[in-house]
Amino acid sequence: MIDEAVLKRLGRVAWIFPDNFDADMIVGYENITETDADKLAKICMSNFDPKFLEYVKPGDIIVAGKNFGYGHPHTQPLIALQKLGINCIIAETFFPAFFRNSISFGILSIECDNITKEVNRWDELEVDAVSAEIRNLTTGKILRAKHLPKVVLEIISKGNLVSYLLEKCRQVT
Amino acid sequence: MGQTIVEKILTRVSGKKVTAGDIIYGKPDLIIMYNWPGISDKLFSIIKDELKIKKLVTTEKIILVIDHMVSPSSVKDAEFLKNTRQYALENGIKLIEMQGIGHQVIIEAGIIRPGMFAVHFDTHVPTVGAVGAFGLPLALDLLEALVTGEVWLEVPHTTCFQLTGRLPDGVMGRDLIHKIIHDLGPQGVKNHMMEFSGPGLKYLEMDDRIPVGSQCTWAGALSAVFEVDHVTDVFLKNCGVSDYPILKSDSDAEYKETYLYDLGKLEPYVIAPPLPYKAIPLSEVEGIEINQGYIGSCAGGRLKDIEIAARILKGRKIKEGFRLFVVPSTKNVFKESMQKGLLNVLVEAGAYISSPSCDFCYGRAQCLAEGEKAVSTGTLNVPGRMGSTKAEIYLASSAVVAATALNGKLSDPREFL
Repeated sequence: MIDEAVLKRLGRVAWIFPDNFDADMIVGYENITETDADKLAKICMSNFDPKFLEYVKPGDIIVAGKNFGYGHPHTQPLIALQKLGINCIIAETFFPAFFRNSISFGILSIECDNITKEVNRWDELEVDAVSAEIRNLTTGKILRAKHLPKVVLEIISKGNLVSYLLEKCRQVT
Repeated sequence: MGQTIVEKILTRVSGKKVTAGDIIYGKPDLIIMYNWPGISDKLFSIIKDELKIKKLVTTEKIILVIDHMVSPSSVKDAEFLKNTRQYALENGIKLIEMQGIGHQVIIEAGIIRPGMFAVHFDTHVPTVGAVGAFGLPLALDLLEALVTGEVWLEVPHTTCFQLTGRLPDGVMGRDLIHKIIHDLGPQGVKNHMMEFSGPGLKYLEMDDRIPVGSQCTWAGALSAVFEVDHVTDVFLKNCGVSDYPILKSDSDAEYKETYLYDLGKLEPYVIAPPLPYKAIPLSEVEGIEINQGYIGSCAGGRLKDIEIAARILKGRKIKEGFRLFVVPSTKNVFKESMQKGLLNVLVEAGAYISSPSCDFCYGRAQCLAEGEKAVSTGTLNVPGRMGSTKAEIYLASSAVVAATALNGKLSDPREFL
């Protein structure tokens, strides 16, 4: 069963990444063995905007160009973003393993053509994964996103892959 | 409509005839992991503490490899390794340690065979495509495979690479994948499967195929697979492996795109800093001064790599001040290199030889300082990959690394052959 309410996100665009961005840079390559979520959150995005932590708030959204996550799909950048309350990434396309990882964390990750041209930093967006529609509340523009496979909607709807599997295991037993 | 190699593999593991674009559940033949903080330990703790699973239904399919941090440099590291071993022991999971880099060890040991479907949380698992298997890179979602025995995936489209001709001496498989990245760019293969076939395949040795699989994702491929041929058969026979299906795409299989590559016309290509898609002809950067060289990783460190380095360095001396590290990627390659006298030649020339491990590829061993430059057969060149974020890494074939070691500057190996 899919809980449609959980498949919506409302938040501001906290950052816009360029094409082919290696997500390890979100925490810095020197920190890709760190496992402490608090430490990772503290250094998150500090190479891009030293004041990121002051501005960012739970619900904020990351926007990116094509092939987002090109690189090794380490868990560290996702741990950091999620710790700061970021639970949605809209990219023009994703690097496949990064997409799967992000979905496993319960981060609603959805593809939308030209998103980097259609939004500015701090625009407020409403994302509906079921209708695959993104409303830019700041400009009033409605953008079409790519529909996610049903299994992805189910995982996000349960919260993350672990909760999804918990329920699946329960059903089996 | 006929099927491609990957469609045939996924048809078998999903139990129904599939076509590119279908969303399916596939049952991996192998679920592979290595020891890495934040992922292997996290998966173990989720299974035990959150999902409260006592015995995984997939236990027989799991391979756990210790190939990172093989020389623990702190008590914390040593504890991490101890816990990894203990997890394998307590849960009846096959552990591979002290054998070399997992992606290559499982090929040599016949654990992965043509036609198999393997999943891993590592980007370089397509290395196994060299022997006609489908390696799918996952991440934390390896958990789904571990717990349920299957993973969801969209059956990939296939882009065909038809090879003709024969690699010139001093030009290697590594140059082929670098040239493809140069021509197509980081999204060029559009998440498709790369399939290699054509009359040139019979001249492309296994040691030249392995780096192509390892590095295919930098061209935007989901994975890569080589048609199984005589070269595969000879290689696997030497490894004591027989009895596997011969998979070829059907003549009417649908390819999204087909590219022709004449191996005979290739030249050395390197990946310049700071990103893995900055592929350029070596000639554009020849002469740049370099401090350190590395021959090894899942994308190198094969017998052919050691052999060509020995041919280039034989009777010569590495430039004073240059540090060359040669790390055969598996114990087998180490042994063969020793038996053939290749390691002697390298040591005489001034190289340092180390035991198989992934650690040189990501700066854990022989970390670079600020301002230093390396030439490496490793897998990635982003800033900080081999140490300081202010060090630079050029990725190249082992032949280029060896030639560079002689001059202390990026050099064309063909001058020394």
